[in-house]
Amino acid sequence: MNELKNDNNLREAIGRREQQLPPMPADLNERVMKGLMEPETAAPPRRLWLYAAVAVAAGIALLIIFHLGKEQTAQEPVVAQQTVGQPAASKPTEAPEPVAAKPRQEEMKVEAPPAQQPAKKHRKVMRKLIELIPTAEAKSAHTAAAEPAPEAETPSPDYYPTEQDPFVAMAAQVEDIRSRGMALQQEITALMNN
Amino acid sequence: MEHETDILINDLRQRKPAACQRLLATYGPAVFRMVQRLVTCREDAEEVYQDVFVKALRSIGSYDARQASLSTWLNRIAYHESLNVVRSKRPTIVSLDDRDLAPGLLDFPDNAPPDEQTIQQLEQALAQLAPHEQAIVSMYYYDNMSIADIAYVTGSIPSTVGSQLSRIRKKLYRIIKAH
Repeated sequence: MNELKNDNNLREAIGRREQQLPPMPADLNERVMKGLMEPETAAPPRRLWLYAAVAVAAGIALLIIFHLGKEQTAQEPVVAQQTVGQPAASKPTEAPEPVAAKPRQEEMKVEAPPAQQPAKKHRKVMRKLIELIPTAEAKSAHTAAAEPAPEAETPSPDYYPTEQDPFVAMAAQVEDIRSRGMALQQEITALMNN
Repeated sequence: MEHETDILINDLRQRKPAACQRLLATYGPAVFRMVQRLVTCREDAEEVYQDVFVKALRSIGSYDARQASLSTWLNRIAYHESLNVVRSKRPTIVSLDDRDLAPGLLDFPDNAPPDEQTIQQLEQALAQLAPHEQAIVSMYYYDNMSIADIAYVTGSIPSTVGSQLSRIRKKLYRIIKAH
């Protein structure tokens, strides 16, 4: 440390270098004073505007979160009602009210962790639908352009959809379009043959 | 003097314009010197100087006299503000690591009497240092600041500053010998 302190050559060199630095402009402090006085008057409205914007954004975010949360809680019982595999005859009085499905939700909780359940049940429903569509198509092909066989519309024994099931409604529509298409195709073939 | 500084700090906390003027008049030249050591462009240096005092007045409430004197505290703000500008402008810094030079060139005169030729060579060598290195040696040799104060200004620890100073000095003599 002493060699550092006693290095007179370096001290002298730095001293000369520092003296070569240009002096501070005479009016710099005045300019700085002006600059220092300005922000004090300008700052409050900017802050108020910022706080207002943040408050509005936070309010909107809260509303969206609250609305989404509400939607989710309303949809959950419907999903549970659609996917629980119990015979419809055993519960004839059960109405498709979303709020009334509380005990079923509890059943689902026992089966699997709650986070995985809706996706799992949806997959199950979709698999059933896929099974259902080709069966109807095959049956309608066999029974020449007449009315579709009543057996084709009967769902598999472990799935009992309610009237409000959107997947079943969609499947029925698809099946209807397919059968009409088939009938039209057969009519055209018959006309062409004649 | 200490009492005057306390009054000044109190007045600054109360946002008195006269106190601001007194602060600029008393500490302005030293702060400007510190800024100029790091920021070579005149316009940039003036801008940084203004930013230093704006920042200082905003954070005067958090200033603790037990940690450092008011001038050291202002130098700390000036050092960091200047470094931010230097880093954003990305200047060309001459790299001269220990491995760049032969071991035989490491010896340099200790406690040598002032020698005009060496002084001139050192002046030229100082220009090749990185801005933060120039600032550190200037604080030590020109401002006669203690290593603890330099550590406070640079946001480092005293032992690191000590080794930095030693390394910079060796580097300067290596530059001289290399030429």
